[in-house]
Amino acid sequence: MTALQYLLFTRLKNGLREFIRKPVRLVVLLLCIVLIGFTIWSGNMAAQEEDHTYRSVTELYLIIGGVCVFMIAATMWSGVRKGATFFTMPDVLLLFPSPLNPRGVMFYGMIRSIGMYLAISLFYLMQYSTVHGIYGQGFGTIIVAMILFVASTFLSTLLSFFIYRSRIGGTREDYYESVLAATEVSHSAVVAQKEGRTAEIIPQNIKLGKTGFAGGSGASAFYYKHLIENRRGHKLILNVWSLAAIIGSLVFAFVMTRMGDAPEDTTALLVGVFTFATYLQLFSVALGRLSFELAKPYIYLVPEGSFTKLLHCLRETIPSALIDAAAVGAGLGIILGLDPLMTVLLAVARLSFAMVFTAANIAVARIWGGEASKVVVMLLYLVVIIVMLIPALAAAIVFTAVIPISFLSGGQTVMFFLAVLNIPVSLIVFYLCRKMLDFAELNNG
Amino acid sequence: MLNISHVTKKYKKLIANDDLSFTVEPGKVSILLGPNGAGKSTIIKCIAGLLRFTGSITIGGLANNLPEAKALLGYVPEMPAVYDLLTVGEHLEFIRRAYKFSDEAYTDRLLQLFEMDDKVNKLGKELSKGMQQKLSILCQLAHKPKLLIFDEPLVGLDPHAIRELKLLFRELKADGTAILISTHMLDSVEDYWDTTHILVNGKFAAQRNNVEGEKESLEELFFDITEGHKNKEAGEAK
Repeated sequence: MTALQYLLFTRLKNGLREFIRKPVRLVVLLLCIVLIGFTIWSGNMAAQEEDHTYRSVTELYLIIGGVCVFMIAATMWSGVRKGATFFTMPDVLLLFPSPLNPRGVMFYGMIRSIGMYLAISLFYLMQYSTVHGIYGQGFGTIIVAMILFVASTFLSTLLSFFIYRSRIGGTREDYYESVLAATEVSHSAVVAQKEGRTAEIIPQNIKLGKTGFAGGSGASAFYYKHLIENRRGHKLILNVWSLAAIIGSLVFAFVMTRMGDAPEDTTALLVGVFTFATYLQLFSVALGRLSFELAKPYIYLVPEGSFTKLLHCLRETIPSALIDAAAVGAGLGIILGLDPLMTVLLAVARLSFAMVFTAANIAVARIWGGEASKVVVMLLYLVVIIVMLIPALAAAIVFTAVIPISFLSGGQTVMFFLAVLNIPVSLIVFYLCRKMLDFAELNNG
Repeated sequence: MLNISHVTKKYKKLIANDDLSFTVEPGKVSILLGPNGAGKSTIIKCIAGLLRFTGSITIGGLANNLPEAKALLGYVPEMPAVYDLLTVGEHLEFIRRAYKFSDEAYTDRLLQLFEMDDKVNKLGKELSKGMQQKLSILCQLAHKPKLLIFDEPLVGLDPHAIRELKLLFRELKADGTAILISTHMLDSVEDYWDTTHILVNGKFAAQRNNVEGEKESLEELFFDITEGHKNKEAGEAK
């Protein structure tokens, strides 16, 4: 066995062993298998229903093609700007200076990358229910989609690597330099992920602009620091994820209102659209710069009350939460033809969910910060959100189904209780976590 | 100034610090020594309020998680703590504002001492590792803390900065600042240490005062304790 073959198989073997050594990974793996099993069962059940009609398969092909185009665009965009890499930091530091054949090393990197993309593509299996139940397609289509995903990701990484090389020059030294630079970027992201923090993507060319603070004293110095960092980091008020979540929600609402089988009950339609919009919001709401602050010692060291520091760190997220709520409220109001009261309630309910997600993020960091793995933290985050939503959802169900309120429509009742109960629940959670920075668990500092 | 009393820190089953107690008085330099993994960084992070622990840590008689205690503390971590998108000058302005400390002339002097005065408009991300370490040190000196704790302060510094930092240690000591340093570079602190604590497997294996006239060097002491500890463990295993 050659050195590279040994490395490849040993890493694969040790990777599999990790599932046994770390029970959390095993639990997640088993959950995924159960989910895949469930999706296959539910897909088959749906397809067996009498008078079951399928949607046009062209729609499915468009979705599969869309995912491939998105992966190619995202990989090329990132790769051409910052360089693409098939290697990890230990690969670069150990293999590149070694007397191994450079072609062999390159081949090794490619094989590992294909393996990684293949592992990611396994999530396509979870879509069996949709593919079979809605479009009447089987495993063959899913396997083709997986192959297309792996091929498009791998080839676009390879292509962007060559474009990047030709951009910066083509000598052997340039090649190593570009691989090293790209690997450093991906390495810092991996390290950040292991430490449970978010790696900030910083533009390569930063315009310094005006220097110095516009204000700030004590804890508010963090807020003014964030203003400078957001300006230099080219951060818009709404980040890309928030914009994507808003556009996705509006498009979904538009499609739902024009679908032949859209629910006639406006409450059901509104709740369906709002649920989807909230699902997207879950991925777009983040702690902003607070998540980066939590990974550095200053937020814990500055001699101010923990709660005051937290609030000043969250200040910069307020404008984006307000704009997001206004945009979703107004957009859905127009598309769904809602009255002004309903539109306002919807916007406030949207804002209340931003508060719930932020408070849940903080609660997880307060209770389990630095002690649990990333996967466990994500699961705990979802559990905390569900617990926090119980009062509002329970009230919404009771006052629509059991004791209807005469002067409010069903949709208005749901949005009213979400808004009225989510906000105080979030504030209570914020208050309970007020000492978070006094009881830190910063393992990387 | 610093009082550690029965501090224990556990990571699941691993006891990183086991019932540690010691003090650092004003105007004294205390050294934490020990092999890799002995628990030096852990106790330092506990003091800085970055880790949860059992026991008691007070700074100036106040619990270390109180703002009044934090105002007395400067902590220089092992890895440079630098903001990528702030300039060197803005880092120091941030510290002055956050700590409500208005002596700009003092931070200017620090910049000159560490030859950073020509880098005031350089962004954190543009600095080399050594420069980042200098900036990280400056940020903690900038508000004139009464207790300074350093986790491997000399790693990555150039000879000029090492010399200036050593001189500064003496100056701060003379001003009454209590200093706690964790380091593997024994010769760097040989001239001015007052007490030393040698950690092995999370416990203090020895604590010594630097008594004038006694010629036991830190290096001799360190190897006596740590190698002796290993030999003892090997003997017990047999």
